Amino acid sequence: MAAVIPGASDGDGPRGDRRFRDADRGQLLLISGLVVAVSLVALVVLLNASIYSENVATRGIEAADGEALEVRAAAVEETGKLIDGTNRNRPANHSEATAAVEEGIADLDEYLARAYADRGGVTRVSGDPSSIRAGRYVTGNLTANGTGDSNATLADGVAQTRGFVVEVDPDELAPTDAAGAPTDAFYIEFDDGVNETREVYVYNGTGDNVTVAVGQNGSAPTVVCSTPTADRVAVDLTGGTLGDERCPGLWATSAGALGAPYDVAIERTDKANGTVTATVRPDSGDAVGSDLTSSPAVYDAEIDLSYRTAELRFETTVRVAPGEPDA
Amino acid sequence: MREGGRGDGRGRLRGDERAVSVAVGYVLTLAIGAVLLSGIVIGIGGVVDSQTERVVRGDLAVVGQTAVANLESADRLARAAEVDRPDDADAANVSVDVDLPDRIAGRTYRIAVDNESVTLRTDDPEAVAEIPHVANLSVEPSRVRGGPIRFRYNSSVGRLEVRER
Repeated sequence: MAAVIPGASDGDGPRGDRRFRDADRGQLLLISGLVVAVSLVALVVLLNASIYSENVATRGIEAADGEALEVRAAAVEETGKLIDGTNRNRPANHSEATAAVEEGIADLDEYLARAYADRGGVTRVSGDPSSIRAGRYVTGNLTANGTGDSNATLADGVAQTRGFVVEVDPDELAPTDAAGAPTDAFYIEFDDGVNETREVYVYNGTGDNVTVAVGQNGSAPTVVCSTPTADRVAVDLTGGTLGDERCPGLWATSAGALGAPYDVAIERTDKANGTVTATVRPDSGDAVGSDLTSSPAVYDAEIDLSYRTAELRFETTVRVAPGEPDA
Repeated sequence: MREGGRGDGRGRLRGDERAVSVAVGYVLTLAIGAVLLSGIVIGIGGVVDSQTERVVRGDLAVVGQTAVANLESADRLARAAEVDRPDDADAANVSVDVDLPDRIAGRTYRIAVDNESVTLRTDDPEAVAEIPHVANLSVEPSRVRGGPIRFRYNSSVGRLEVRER
């Protein structure tokens, strides 16, 4: 291209004029080169953006909610343990139980705040004393129930029950079947006082498996599950487990809704041996009638929970009642 | 140097072919150069345009996936906030902020959110990326400009909303 070759044309004018004319002729190429350069830079920037975004896409997107859910789970679980631990300590009265739970929640708040501060999150857990409801923690031996009789009242005038666990010794259970259970087996009875009852029978069924059957109004019960014998078998009525396995339909209301308040009784305890534990909420007042040992307790508590990071805000109130049935 | 009269000058000039090749060569060089450069510029422009469109589509999809992931996070958190929440308690407060880019390949874009999907759209080039989501809570249909946004849970109506920040 002649335009860029200096001195390609030999004119007659002075050398200075020639140089200016040569310089003018380079403009077309210069501008074109500039356009090409700018285009190439734009292309590079675009391709870089493309590569970056595809890199981001293959890296996976971090879920922002994991830690908030972790904080909630930890707060609920620890508060539940705190309530149960407080109840097991048998506080002298309800205000003592409430104060212990409040103090525990304050400690939990400090602990969680420290643990999550490292990860850039701010947590706050607080309990309102007015939301902590009184209950009764009932526990005792099935046979030595204080009545000298094989039938005993576990709790009268109950609005809600949670953490209801009967631990039985399989060797002492009566061997029978579903048809014979209403006359031969140890059972727990829920009675709402208006001719509606639910019975949960526990006996040694086929192959000496510890078997649980649920019935209503004294009719023939239905077997819900069974488990091989062990030293002690825990029947968690509210948690719905038998031994270590899930047992759907174990909670009494699976046989039909039961009105409140209801009475809970353990019947035919001469056909079993073991212990029973339950936390109940009285329908009125803060005590229930019981033939077993009953002490002031906390039934449930509400905690205000908050977790914040730069991008996320999670604030809610949770009612904690560990081991409460869904129904 | 002048050898003849004025009358003979024109005839001599017509017959004189000296220096013509230089002018013709120069014009030809300019023409060929211009054609070549135009070709290059047009060619590169085409490549840039096609790459721009490709980048816009890719980025819309990536940004859409990010928005959907955060929408679903807000959904999970909102549902967790409602579990075991007493009826008389204060409303749950859940929000997730997402720092999405203001522009994609230098173009502004819009984000539309509804119950089924998150849709991102640019006008030039005309590109759409529709990313379905699986949020269980209902999502208030709304449109926002592309950029930093916030997914918020409205506890009183039980819906997720999207707002510009």
